[in-house]
Amino acid sequence: MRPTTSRYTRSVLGLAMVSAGLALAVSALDHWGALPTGLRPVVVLIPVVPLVFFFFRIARWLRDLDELERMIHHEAILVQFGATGILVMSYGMLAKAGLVPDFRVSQVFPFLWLAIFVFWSLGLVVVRRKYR
Amino acid sequence: MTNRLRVLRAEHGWSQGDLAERLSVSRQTVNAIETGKYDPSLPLAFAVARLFGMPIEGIFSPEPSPEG
Repeated sequence: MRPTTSRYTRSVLGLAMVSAGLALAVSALDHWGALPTGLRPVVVLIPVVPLVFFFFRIARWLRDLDELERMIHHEAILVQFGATGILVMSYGMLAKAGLVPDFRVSQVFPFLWLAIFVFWSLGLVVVRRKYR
Repeated sequence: MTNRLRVLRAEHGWSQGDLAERLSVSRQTVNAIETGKYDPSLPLAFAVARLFGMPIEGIFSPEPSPEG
């Protein structure tokens, strides 16, 4: 029997929380200088490991969806891809022109995730209306 | 594409939910097919045809739906 959407949601959220927790822990350890120098490049990337499983889980969830719902998600991901790309590129050009603060990548990458999921959700709302 | 899904479903006395369950899809999918907003995949079209005991072309026809 295939896992239900709520089970997928729980595991996806769980993996995202594990990744966020690991990111905070690694960041704290790095701040206190507690990371072994030689292993530092490996240790700082540990929070990425749950994200790999996170994406496989999302891909599996999408494959298990009803065919219309899967198409709706694919169209919503296209909306998210375009909107996130346009947002990042627009902000980058404004920053390059000195019109907005030029943040470093390390300061803004958590917000990139936020943009991805906000635009995915907005895409779902827009695309679902087409098939209602 | 147009289809006779709503008529056939009514003839069997099934709700959209009943048909969705028999086809292992969501009620939203059945509704979107009936209203011509979504054209089913070939496997789903075959499943519909098998369920009603008819050829695919007896249920689906290539003429554009009135809603486009």
